[in-house]
Amino acid sequence: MPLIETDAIVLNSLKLGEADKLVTFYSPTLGKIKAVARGARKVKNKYGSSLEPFTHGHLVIYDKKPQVLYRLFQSDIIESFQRVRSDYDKIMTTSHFSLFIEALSPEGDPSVPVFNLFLKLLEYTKVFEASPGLINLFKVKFLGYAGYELLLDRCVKCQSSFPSMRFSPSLGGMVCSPCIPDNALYSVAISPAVQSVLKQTFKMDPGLISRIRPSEEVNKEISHILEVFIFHILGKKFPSLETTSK
Amino acid sequence: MDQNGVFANLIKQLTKLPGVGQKTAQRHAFAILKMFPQEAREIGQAIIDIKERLIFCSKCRNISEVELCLICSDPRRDRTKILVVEEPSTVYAIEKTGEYRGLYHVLLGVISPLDGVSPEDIHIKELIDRLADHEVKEVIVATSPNMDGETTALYLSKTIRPLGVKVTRIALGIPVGIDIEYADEVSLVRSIEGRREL
Ligand SMILES: [Zn+2]
Ligand SMILES: [Zn+2]
Repeated sequence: MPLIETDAIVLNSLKLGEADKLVTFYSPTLGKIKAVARGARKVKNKYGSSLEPFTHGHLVIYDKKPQVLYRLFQSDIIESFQRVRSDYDKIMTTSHFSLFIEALSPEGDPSVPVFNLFLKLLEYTKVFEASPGLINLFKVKFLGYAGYELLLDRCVKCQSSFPSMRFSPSLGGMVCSPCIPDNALYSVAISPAVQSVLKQTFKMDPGLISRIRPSEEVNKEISHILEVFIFHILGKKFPSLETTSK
Repeated sequence: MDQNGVFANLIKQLTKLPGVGQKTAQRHAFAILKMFPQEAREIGQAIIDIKERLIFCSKCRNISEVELCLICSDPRRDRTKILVVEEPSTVYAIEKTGEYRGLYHVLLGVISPLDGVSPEDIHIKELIDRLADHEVKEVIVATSPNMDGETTALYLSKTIRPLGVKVTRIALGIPVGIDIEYADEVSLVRSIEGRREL
């Protein structure tokens, strides 16, 4: 059985059987992985608090191919992010983002930028409270890294650039009105202010996007764009931040 | 042996119990086989009884045979304190110590944002209702020291404090009997936060 070492962030941790845990991690080298931590719920266990959600740790795992689940052998805390888990609202927003990454990341498809993005959010949340607007920008940034960057400059069908284009979730970008015959294609308008915030977010270093302070109106529009785009990607509705934290 | 026969079926049923694997189930099944019929019937009846005769106490949601459980109806219990737990098994464990004389409230679950469990899904409203008579002075939160348990404790604190009732959390930290050098960093920090004067 080959042993693998990797850094990872705990996305989710569920009870498994009587005393075990099924932990979902995001690793910069392995992507989203699920590992079984045997005996993790017993008083005396070798994992300690390292499997609490949002913990940044260093793992040693067994690859049990052809089985999909890894077996966790050891995990050491690099940063516990306990302060994120000590505040109700911080728990809610971070859980929401964690579920978002979990839902949109296919298993075993690693991305260093996605890993660093979550780490940046955790570092920010340790000190400040991430507003719903900032969470939206982190989601936008994630989409860019995951290959879903919105193409905002040109019509994705004819490559021309018109001022009054609309966003099509199924095409993943803007379309001009001649390319939307008889409104057969579902599309939403994106205001110039929102377009500029989105472009800025895609370009910016993830450590700096907390500096963008979108207005409430802009944020509402981004929420709606994310909602319809993610519905298209997942084929189902992803619960809003308000429902996660109600 | 007949894999669909009554003996194989008993083994299959027993393996549903925690800690019972195929081997243990087999041993139990042979033990039951050797019993007098009356003994075996008592085991069967005891299992049926807890499913048919146990209900949840209408006040604290602990398991009970009567509408109001023996703890809630005991006039010697301290009615100024309610200790909040996730499951009836914790009430059982605390009662065995004989150290706590207040009342309980069983949430029958825990808030879990990652598992989609919100405050309305567990018995929090019933707890708030119990505070209306102003007899309760302190709510002690004894949920698990993990993120879901903490989330529930934080929610209870922000909901109950404005009602003028003191909310306390059980001490979290290093388990009794271990060497302090083996404690992990989160447990160490929590134990320093929860320190008390000697
Ligand atoms: Zn076009
Ligand atoms: Zn009761």
